[in-house]
Amino acid sequence: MNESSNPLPQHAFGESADKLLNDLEAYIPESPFLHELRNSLHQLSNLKLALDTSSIVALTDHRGIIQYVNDKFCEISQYSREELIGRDHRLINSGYHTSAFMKNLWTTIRSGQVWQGEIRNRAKDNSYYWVNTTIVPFMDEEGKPYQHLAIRNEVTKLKKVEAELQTMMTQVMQIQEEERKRFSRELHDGIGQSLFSLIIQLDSQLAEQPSPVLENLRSQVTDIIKDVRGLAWELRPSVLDDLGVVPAIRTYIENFCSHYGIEVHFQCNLRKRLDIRKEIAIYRIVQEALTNVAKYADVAEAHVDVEDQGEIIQVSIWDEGIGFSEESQGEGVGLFSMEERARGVGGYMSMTSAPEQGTSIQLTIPV
Amino acid sequence: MLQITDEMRKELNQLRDRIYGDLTALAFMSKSGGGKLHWYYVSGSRSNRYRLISFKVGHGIAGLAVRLGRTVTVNALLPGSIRLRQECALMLAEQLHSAIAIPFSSTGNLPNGVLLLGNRDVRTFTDSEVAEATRVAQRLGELCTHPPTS
Repeated sequence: MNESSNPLPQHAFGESADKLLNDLEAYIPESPFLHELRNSLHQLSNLKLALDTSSIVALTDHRGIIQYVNDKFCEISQYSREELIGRDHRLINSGYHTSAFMKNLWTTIRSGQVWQGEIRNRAKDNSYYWVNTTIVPFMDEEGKPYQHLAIRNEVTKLKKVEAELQTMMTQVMQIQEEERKRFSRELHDGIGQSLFSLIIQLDSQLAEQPSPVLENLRSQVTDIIKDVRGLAWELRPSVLDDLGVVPAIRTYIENFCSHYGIEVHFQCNLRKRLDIRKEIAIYRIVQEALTNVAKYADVAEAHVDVEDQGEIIQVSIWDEGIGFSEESQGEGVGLFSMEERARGVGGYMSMTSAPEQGTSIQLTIPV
Repeated sequence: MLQITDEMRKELNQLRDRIYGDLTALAFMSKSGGGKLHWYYVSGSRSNRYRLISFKVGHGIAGLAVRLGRTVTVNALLPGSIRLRQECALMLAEQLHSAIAIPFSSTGNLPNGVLLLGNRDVRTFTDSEVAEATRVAQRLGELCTHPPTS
């Protein structure tokens, strides 16, 4: 332990390999041992060169005090080596990660396990950069870590694109909803109303003079109205906008039962309206989840629970069907879009399933 | 409501035996023109879920057969089959992977009923099996004489 709290020798991390290589012959007589040693040192020196060219490397003691950084570290953080050594990583902390995240990192490496993850850091000029980080703890004889080697690669661009992609997804889904709403309204109020006025005209004709041909026509127009309304409803049920997510889910479940022959048990204590974007997210996720139940679960019953827990709305959709394992998961665009919908309104969604154990979808939406 | 007679049951049960099918089923329109179809009798079903299932003309393999007025086939080898299967609640409920749907008419006009043959594995139906089933579909059309009132 003493050794680790010593002020750091500048050559702390393999810096001495080259020097040793030069001095080898002066200390060790020519022998196969010398030969092997030279080879090993050579390899080590090459390895270090490769690592330094490719990655950001830092070595800290068990408390996280920086003992060594390579040039790449200085370059990206914009701090000089002198500014970094002897300080801890709080210097470049961006304040982005939760304390739980940092706690998990420390618990992992203190227990001697390798930690891997993405961290956002702050450079000297206050700009941010993302690094994909691997921290390897080195243990002493007592099994306590005395040093941590952190190897990082910059992924700022990747993170930026990832964030853009997510924003884009949310926007695309929003546009899709708007379009659906527009078409649904058009169908219902436009074509639907025109057809209805046709019925009224037919009725007045029929009142004057009964005719089987007109009767038949009237019944056909009625069927078309039903179809148009059905289509409008499928696109976007107006009840969702007018009365909220709970009546919308209720109606959806009714139709679902008569379409698929699956009984859905619906429990709900949500009595208030939510932000319409959140209501849409909940509705679409329930819809998608139930469709998946019908397609894959092979069950006669399913469950939907919507629970208002004050701060959050907890939605579960579950069945006791055939389930599936992670590996057998299909193309799964559905699941991806459900996750994105949840994320788009600040919530999150998780799914658990195992063969013969059914499937459960848990959705948490902040109020 | 359509009344299922013993003779209709017999036709469907015997057909299932003769074509080595896992299931034969009869759907009929709940009222003349438009409207939805319901499954009235299923021979070889795993559950009673079919009693709850209704579908629209044009939807799934059975609905499409009624709309087109011709036989429609679903099996894993044919393109577009996945959608036709997933839109057909009976195929999902009964875990059918191959099926053919043959429309029939009880009025002599547009189709208002459909006969479905299905298997839970991937198979093909021979021409003579299809011809046999088409004959049964016609017979069912004759047997469903009284237009149901709903």
